[in-house]
Amino acid sequence: MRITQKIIFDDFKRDINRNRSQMAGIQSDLSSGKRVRIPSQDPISFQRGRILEEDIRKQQQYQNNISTGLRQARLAQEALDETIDNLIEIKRILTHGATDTSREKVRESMAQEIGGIRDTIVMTLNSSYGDRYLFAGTNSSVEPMVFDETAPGGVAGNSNATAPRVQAGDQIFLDISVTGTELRDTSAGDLFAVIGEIEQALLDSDREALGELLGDISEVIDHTANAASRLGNNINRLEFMYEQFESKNIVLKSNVSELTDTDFAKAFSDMQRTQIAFEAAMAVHTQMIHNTLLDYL
Amino acid sequence: MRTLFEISKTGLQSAERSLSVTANNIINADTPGYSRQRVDKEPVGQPLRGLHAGLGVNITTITRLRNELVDVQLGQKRQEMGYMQEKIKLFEQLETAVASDSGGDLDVHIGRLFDAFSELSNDPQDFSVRNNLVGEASQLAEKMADMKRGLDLVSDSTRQSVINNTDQINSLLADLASLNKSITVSEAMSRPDHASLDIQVRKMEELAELVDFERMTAKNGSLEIRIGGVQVLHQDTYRKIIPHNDDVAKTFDLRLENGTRVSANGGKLAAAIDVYEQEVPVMNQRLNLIAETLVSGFNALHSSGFGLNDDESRDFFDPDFTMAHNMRVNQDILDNHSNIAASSAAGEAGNGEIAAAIANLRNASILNGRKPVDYAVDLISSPGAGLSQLRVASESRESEIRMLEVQQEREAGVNVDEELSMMIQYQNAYQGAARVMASAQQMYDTLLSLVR
Repeated sequence: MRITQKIIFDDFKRDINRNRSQMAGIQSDLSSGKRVRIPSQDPISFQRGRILEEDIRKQQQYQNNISTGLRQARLAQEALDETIDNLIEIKRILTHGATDTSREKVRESMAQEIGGIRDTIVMTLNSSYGDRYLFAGTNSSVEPMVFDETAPGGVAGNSNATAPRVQAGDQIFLDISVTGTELRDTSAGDLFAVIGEIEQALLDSDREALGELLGDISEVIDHTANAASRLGNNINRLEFMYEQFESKNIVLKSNVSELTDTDFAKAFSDMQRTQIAFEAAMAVHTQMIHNTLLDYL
Repeated sequence: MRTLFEISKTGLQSAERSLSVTANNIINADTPGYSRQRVDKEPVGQPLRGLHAGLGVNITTITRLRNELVDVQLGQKRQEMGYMQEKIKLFEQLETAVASDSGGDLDVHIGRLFDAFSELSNDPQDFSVRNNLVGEASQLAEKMADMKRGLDLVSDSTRQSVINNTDQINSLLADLASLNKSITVSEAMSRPDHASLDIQVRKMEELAELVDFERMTAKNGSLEIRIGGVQVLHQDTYRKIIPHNDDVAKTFDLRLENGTRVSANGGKLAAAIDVYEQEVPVMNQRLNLIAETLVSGFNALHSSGFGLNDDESRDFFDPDFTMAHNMRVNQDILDNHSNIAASSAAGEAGNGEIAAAIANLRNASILNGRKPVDYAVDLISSPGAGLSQLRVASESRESEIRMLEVQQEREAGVNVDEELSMMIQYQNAYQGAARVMASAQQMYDTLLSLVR
């Protein structure tokens, strides 16, 4: 078999080129830390990786939604807790006022005190997150509670019946507050109307009415506490879902990593193997080129 | 006595000729297309005074060693290889136009716009969220236009490549035609023109990479070439191929000057035409489908919603521009971000129902039964998928070509060591012949000194 110099040199050039391109590939795998950077390196892994990354992006957005929701819901919960405390204070005053021993003068000052507490409740329920009023439903650009002599209890409502909500997952929406409308609509009648009646009864020193109102204020407190606990439930759910997404993300991220990241152990051993082949090719070729008659003539 | 001079003269001549052939072999050892040559000799003799005496040596022919069959096989493989290599080159350009390793690809931009809408649904009154959303939407539109520009560039360079390839084919055909002339002339004088034949081999190699063709060699040595069944080279005339291009319909029509249609079935030319007529337009179509679907999908929901300030119905993207290169956010929204309709009811600032509905489009199979981001990922990785298959195929084709090349090289290639040893051999032969001549000279001198 005739082997010409051209065959030897061409084979050498081919092999050395292949080795070099392999080494360059491994080098950039190692230095970038990624095995699949562009689709042609591994189209299937690239596509799967990118689709998983979209899932991660979506979940992280849900987590963002949950965080925003939680900030608002916690503020709303705090406001509800304060309101409950205030309502309990009203009940305490009412209980005092309903007893025989209280005199008219005292009842009058009690009425004033209750008027003050009502104002505090209005202020609390007008609390906002940024530009958004928490208890206004989705009509959140305006204060939900406005003083108005003609309205029941002297407080008009701007809230609508749709609670603000956040998307916490595909098809999962959770309310992050209670609407002012719902909060006021107790089984004993309008919340502020009840407070107004108590105030009036104290001014009138109407003991019979005061006794009846004791039941009403208890119902109002129950109603508010109910709303607060429902909101608390949602807060718990949001927190739980956040954690769930967190652990799902870890799984997804490790999937992406498996698909597209460099396996360092493998890359290093490949590098060594290719390097040995490369060096061997160099060494044997430098030996080979001396094997010619030219040197002996 | 005179025969001694004759014999040694033929010896000197043949050694010199042989040495020149060997020298030519050594010098051309690395010349592409060169085939090694060998000197064929025969003894010369004639009856002389009852004996048959040798009268030296005669060079009969100089043979060119080459396996034509391997050349034909190689031509076929080279044509397939040329097709794949050109496609690889163009697919690489396509991949660069649509995908990057930085992560800022179309899929990410689409995903981020959905994120922005989801964020808006949490807090429809927050202007920083609205500003960010408009920013993301504009970036997406810019990205689409950018990809479209990238695809157009590839289309242009492919078009240029078709034209260049035809130019090259034409100039190769012209070269082959003039080679045909000198080959037939020397063939007629039964003195084969080896140099022209070697150049012909090289030109044919180049032609094989460019296009699929049939070859026939006539008795007089002239080469005939047909491309797609149409004769383009006959004797010393060739026919030019002219590419007629319609850049709007994205078609190429190859015709001879007399109007005969030529179809290119392989090689770089066919690859470039394929990419120009098929791959790039399909990518463009798919990109436009994304633009169109996003514009109409977003607008259908958005126009049913309400902004912060009034109860007017507005589109999110400008409905007059639904192509990848011109899609843009509605000017009303660019001018006033409160016009983004997040709410499903007029006057409800805290209502994010529409924003949430738009964000939910990311889960809807609205693009050929696929989700928008999945479809975008599929689009940007389609050149890469083709590329990785082509690379595998071209690698195996490359080693097939290498095997055939080695086969040909064994037959036609020059082994310098072999030639060097022959050089010494011819040198010795020359020295021997010269020695004979010197001896004859001495004999004459001796004879002449007797006379003196």
